[in-house]
Amino acid sequence: MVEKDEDKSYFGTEETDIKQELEDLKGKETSQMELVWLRFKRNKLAIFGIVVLLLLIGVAIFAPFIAPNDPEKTGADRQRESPSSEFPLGTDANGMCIFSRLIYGSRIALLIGLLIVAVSGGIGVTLGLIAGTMGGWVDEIIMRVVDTFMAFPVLVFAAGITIAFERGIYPVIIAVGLIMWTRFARVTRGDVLGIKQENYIEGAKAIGESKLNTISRYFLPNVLPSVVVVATIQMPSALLFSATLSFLGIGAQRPTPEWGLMVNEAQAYMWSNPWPITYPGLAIVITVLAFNFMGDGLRDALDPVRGGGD
Amino acid sequence: MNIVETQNLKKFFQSKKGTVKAVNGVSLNVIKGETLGIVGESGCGKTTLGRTILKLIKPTSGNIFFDEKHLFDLKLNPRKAKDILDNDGIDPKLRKSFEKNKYGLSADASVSKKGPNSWRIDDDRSTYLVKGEENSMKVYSVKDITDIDDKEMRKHRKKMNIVFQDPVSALNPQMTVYDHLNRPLVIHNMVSSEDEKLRKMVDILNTMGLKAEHLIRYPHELSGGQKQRVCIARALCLEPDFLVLDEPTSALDVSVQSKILKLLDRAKDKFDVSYMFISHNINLVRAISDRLGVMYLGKLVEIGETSDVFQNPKHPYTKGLFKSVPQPDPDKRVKAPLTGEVPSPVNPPKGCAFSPRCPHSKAVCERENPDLIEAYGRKIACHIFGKENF
Repeated sequence: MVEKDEDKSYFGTEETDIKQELEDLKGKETSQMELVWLRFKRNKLAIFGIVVLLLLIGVAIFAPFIAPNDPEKTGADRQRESPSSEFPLGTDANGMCIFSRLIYGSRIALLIGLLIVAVSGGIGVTLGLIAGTMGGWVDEIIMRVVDTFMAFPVLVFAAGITIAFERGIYPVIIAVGLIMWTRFARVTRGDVLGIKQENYIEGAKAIGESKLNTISRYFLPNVLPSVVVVATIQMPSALLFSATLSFLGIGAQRPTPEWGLMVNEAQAYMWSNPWPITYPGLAIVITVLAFNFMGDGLRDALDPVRGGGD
Repeated sequence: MNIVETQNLKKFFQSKKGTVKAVNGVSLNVIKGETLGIVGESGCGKTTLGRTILKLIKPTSGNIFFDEKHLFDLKLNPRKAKDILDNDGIDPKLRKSFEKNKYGLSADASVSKKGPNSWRIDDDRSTYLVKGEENSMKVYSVKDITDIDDKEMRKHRKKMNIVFQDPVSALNPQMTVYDHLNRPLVIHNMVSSEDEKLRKMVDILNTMGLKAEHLIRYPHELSGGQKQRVCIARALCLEPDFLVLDEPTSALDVSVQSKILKLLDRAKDKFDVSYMFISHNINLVRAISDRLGVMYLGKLVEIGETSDVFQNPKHPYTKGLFKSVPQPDPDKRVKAPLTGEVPSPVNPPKGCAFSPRCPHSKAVCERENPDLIEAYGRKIACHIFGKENF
């Protein structure tokens, strides 16, 4: 049917340096990430969010250079001082520098947020992948556990865990992480069920991929965009939970510079001096808003078809 | 020799309405080096058949034999051989015949009849098929892939592959073309060095009319035709013996279709691969296949040489199906040769599945299911050609 002699040139591999050629080409491609960035850029609030977060990360990294004082140093001689050149935002009831504590508080906030998302994401994505790929009774059991966890009153559960163990930020991370994995699990499982219908999963089987490789190379990379979005949306909730627990006195303990704890400490005298409670409150609000804006933008950018809905 | 043979293959799905008999007892063979076309209306189970043969979905019952090799001819008078094989247990004469050809049968070997002229012998090492062909009995060794476990099956996957209908869904959006070709080569240890691997990849891409630069592309950066060529390249890079082509061109433009078909034809010679070409496009199958199987409601109704079947279709359904192909000449057009609807595969008619729509339907058709029998140099499943009507 095909004239083979004429096509012979088609078959031969020219002995050019294929590796070099590919390296040269790599720089020229528009990758999928670039497309995502192009869509993300259009959303002004998202840009605001990412700028604020970058600033926050900068502050957290360079906290020792920005903060004028040791955030955990108390002083009986300088309680509740007004702003001065030494203490830009004044001192709190223990004589600790409010400004320095705010600066160092960004470290704690980001650490808590990241660890909570890592813990809950790790649990949730793993269980979601297992439930989605295995199906059957495994799926049924995991999803009923998810339902059970979702029915828990979050604060009571977290309070229980932190009280049962010791107080501090790590029990908070574990407690909140144990609560928040359900959303990761649901989203992951939902995506997996969709991906299962795609031919490339059957194709993976056809070339002899093992089950584990199919999950790690085919399912996982394709659920990651959704997981990233859930992570950015969960981040502010994680921050709020940890601030709430600290505010209630069962999270971070003195003298940790935690924003929720600072609100708690300042509320005693909020009517006589409202500023010490305002600063950490604002820090929480701005951080949470920034994460929310960025999360929304990311979702729209990563999933332009479904974007906007939840 | 057959590369693939199925015996009474069945695949049922459970649905809320009942059991869907997607593939309901298909026995066919794909001869080494040929293209077997499978046609039928949508829903007749042809796609499910392709997937079941590759064990991408688990068959409900039946057997799939792979990689048939001719071992020797039975040194027995065919009639005598039949008698021996039909009696359960391994006759000493049969054992002697095997031993003479250096294929000892183990003590626990067993014989089972698989068709009018074929038997299956299992011992602890391998599966043999004994087939009566004209004047002799031939013994083949086959791999029975029906019941082997996933791990064992993964090794066999090197020798068989599939190309899907929709190339968009068939490629992982998060993997480059390089990754798509890399995985099969790595899984089956096909290459020893990165250089050899790249050369092999580029070679196969060239065969498919693609270039080295496509290696770093993601699927969304390729056109539909290019994606399908990547799919074919991936299927072929393991140098398989058997490829299921599940409507590989129906999602593509007509101009791209012909290109893909030419590439497939070329690859067939280069890689010495046999195709099972599944399609609902009858003219396409006519052009590409050596033999043709017609499916109706999960069953094979007619199978034979393509030109033969086209020139002289015998089964009433085949006749109607071919007549339904739109003709460019208005004078030749026929008014809807097939009347009525395809019955539900959940509740197929008793007897012949085609009987409610068949113009030649008789009482026996509604009562008994016709077997696929030899007639006119092909196989037909219709009572018209049954013994009592000859």
